[in-house]
Amino acid sequence: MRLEEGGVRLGLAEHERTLLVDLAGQLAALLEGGDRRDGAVARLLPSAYPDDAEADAEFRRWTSDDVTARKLEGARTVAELLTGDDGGGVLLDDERQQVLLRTLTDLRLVLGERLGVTADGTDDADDDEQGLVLRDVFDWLGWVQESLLQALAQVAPD
Amino acid sequence: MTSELTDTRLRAAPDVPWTTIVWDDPVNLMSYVSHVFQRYFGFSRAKAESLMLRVHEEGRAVVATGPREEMERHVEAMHEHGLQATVSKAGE
Repeated sequence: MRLEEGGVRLGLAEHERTLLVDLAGQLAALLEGGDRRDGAVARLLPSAYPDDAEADAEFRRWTSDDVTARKLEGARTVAELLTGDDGGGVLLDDERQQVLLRTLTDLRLVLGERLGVTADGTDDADDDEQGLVLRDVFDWLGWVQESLLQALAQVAPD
Repeated sequence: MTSELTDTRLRAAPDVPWTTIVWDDPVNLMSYVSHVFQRYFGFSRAKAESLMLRVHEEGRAVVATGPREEMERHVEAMHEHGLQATVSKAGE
């Protein structure tokens, strides 16, 4: 991750790009499915009125299609950007930076839900192999996001 | 007398402000929450960080106050950014 004229260059290793493209594809599939009984989908589209079912339904009627569409577009944009990286990294202008930040967030929300992440760590000691791999991926996504935010903070005004 | 009372109520109703509340969640990075506050609301870094810390330490913070429609637009944007946000009448 380094600052350049016109933005920030994101240089991920090939296996990291493959992983992120795969995750973005899974996120898109989850959003297309739109099954709100799935805890991860519920976290991506939370309630604006948790204590008022009627207002909640109304709010969802007006917003959830748009929010879902923008999240889908973000996941697809990130997959396209990384697929187009031939090893030289990809230059993220302002708009792409924001799309990547939001998509990384959505991915961490989904993985956090799957892992049962709480303020004190993970819900149940999910120490089977798949749980450990997911935890690593979750932490790595956070590291990429933090690196991008740190790079941006260098150029942002106070 | 009665008409005055009714009048007051009618005039007071639209003035009841609404709020946008952002809730703490165990996943989002503190730096990201602060970034969203700066970027979306246009807050200074100091103000964004202070609000983010309030969310983190107190579990929630009011980040905007105003008409209901405007608060709903803010909450929609917060959801788009992956933050937990709700709309409430002020004082609730």
